[in-house]
Amino acid sequence: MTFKPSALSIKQQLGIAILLVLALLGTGIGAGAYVLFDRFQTRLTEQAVQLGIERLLTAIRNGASGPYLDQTRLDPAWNRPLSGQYFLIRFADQQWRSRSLWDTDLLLPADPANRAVGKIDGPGSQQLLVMTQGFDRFGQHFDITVANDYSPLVREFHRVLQHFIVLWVIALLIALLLLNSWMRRALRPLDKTRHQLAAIQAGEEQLLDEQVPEELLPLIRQINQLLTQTRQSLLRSRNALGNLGHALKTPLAVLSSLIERDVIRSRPELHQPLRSQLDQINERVQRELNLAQNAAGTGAFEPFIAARELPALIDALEKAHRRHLAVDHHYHGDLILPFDRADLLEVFGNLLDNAWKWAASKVALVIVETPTHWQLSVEDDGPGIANLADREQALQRGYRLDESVAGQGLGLAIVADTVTAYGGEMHLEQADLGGLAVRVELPKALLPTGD
Amino acid sequence: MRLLLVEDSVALADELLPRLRSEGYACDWLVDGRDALRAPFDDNYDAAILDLGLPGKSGLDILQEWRAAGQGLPVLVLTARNSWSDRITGLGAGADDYLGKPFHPDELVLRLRALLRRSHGADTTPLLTVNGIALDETRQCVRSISDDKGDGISLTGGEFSLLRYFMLNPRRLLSKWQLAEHLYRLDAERNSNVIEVHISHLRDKLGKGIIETRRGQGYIFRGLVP
Repeated sequence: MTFKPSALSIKQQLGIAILLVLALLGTGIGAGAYVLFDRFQTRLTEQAVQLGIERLLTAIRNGASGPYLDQTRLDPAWNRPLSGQYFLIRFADQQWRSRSLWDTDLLLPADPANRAVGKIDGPGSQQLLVMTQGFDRFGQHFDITVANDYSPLVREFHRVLQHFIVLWVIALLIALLLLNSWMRRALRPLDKTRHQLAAIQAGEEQLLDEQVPEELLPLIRQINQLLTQTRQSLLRSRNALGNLGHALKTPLAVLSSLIERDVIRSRPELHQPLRSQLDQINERVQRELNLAQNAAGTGAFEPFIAARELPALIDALEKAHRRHLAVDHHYHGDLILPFDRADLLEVFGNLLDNAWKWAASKVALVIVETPTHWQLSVEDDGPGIANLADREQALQRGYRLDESVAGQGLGLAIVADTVTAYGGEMHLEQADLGGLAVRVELPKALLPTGD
Repeated sequence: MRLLLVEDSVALADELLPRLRSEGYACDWLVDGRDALRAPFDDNYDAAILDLGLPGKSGLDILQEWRAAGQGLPVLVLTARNSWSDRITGLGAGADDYLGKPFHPDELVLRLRALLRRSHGADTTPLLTVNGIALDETRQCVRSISDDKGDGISLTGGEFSLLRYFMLNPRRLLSKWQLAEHLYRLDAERNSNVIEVHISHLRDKLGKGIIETRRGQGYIFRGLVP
């Protein structure tokens, strides 16, 4: 599949197509109209000329001194100079000209055929349609030629044509505007689909809505199929990873117990590397398990109800550490965090677990909502990490605070993994209580990257 | 102390059982969840170590059914599922403690010791101290609290577990049968003579008044308090 960035948009392509069709149509209609009009005006002028000839024929009378033209039967236009209507009657050696010809001559073809219609230039800018017809009357042969100026009709037609072109252009513009708004309306389902895809990426929705125009439906169905397939294979690999992790833990526990036997413990050169390798495996397994179970972006999660989960968690911590700490809860009683319950429990559990290890007597739990983020922080009144550089180093060094306290570094690493999966950030600070404050910022919307 | 270990990994059980026995616990081991369901009702256990991923019936179901039936046996859950949400679920189902795999074997022993002390209402201080006698559960030796110098008197395994059971149940009349039930495994030969021998040794080491005999009824731990 190739994609040219310079390719025209559908809107442009359709616009150009429509413009082309309308322009061709317009030219065609214009040309057709021109031909038809030309034929029509020729016929009209021809008829007028024919009529003129017949009229002249009836005006020829036979008088005592030979044939004469009965002036009363002549059209007044023939008498008005350069009126555009002319005649010329030739018989024997005489010729009668209409007065309208004034001092010009009709430049007739040398030997016009009988009843032939011709077009010649007249006086001024007149264009004349001429016809000559021969008749035998009173024993004489008369050639009656009538010429009518058809240029006023042509001029009129040109004016009409100009109006027509202006109207046509206006119609084209209106058509383009309409097209634009229709296209926008027609493409609206695509926009909706794009937003839905973003929501799917953010885990807010599962599948695309199939209530779309039928042209889009095959595409939407195909995408939905792909989404389902991807989700299933993701789920499969997550489950596989989860199963693998859990399956490894019992053998790890066996090994962990084995190396504590006296026979190995008495040989530090064996015991120490074995212990450290086992710890590394365990750490890796725990972190990967945590990530495999992470619900960020999966769209399926159970929200975190603070008033229910946090007291249960604190209960669990007091049981685990057999130690009571005064916990200050700074959050709203009805607070529900829109993140997966298990993931947030992992964050709070590990942070509070650290606090329980270090605190003298107090822990503060703060949850603050900002327009873009949820800020969670756990503070204690323990020794903390006084030095800013040490805090930064602690974060950079794989989030390992103190390797001598079992599980300490692992807990923070797991929190960091979870926070990263949600696109958030974690900071270590000096707590108001005196000890360490771990602040976690989770963005409200998991924005798709590159949008 | 009698413990019930419910664990489907043979290798892990093979590791844990000798360790627990060396700590003076009599340990019965079950693999199938369905067998575990009845066990605490059929025998008097002092605590259970329960795996959650069991064949037959899940550990969580077993725990819930025990608690629903009013079985208050102290339970330490030992599981590969150790995320915080799993822990809360386990504790919510009635577990008294929760230990994730893999674990340091010493950690299990410490947790178990604390669990047993709490279930008997004793403090979780480093030494188990009752009625003027301090028992070091790690080194399995004993001394009077007035004598805080010296290494104390070392005890044999049998003496140690018997004394610990007495100290966790002070001022209670304990029959020989009860003692045998809580100190020896299901398959062990419960010989009442063994208990008598251990008691006489403890009296030799700590003084005659430490354990009072109620003829035909049993024994009461008195300690060194006049």
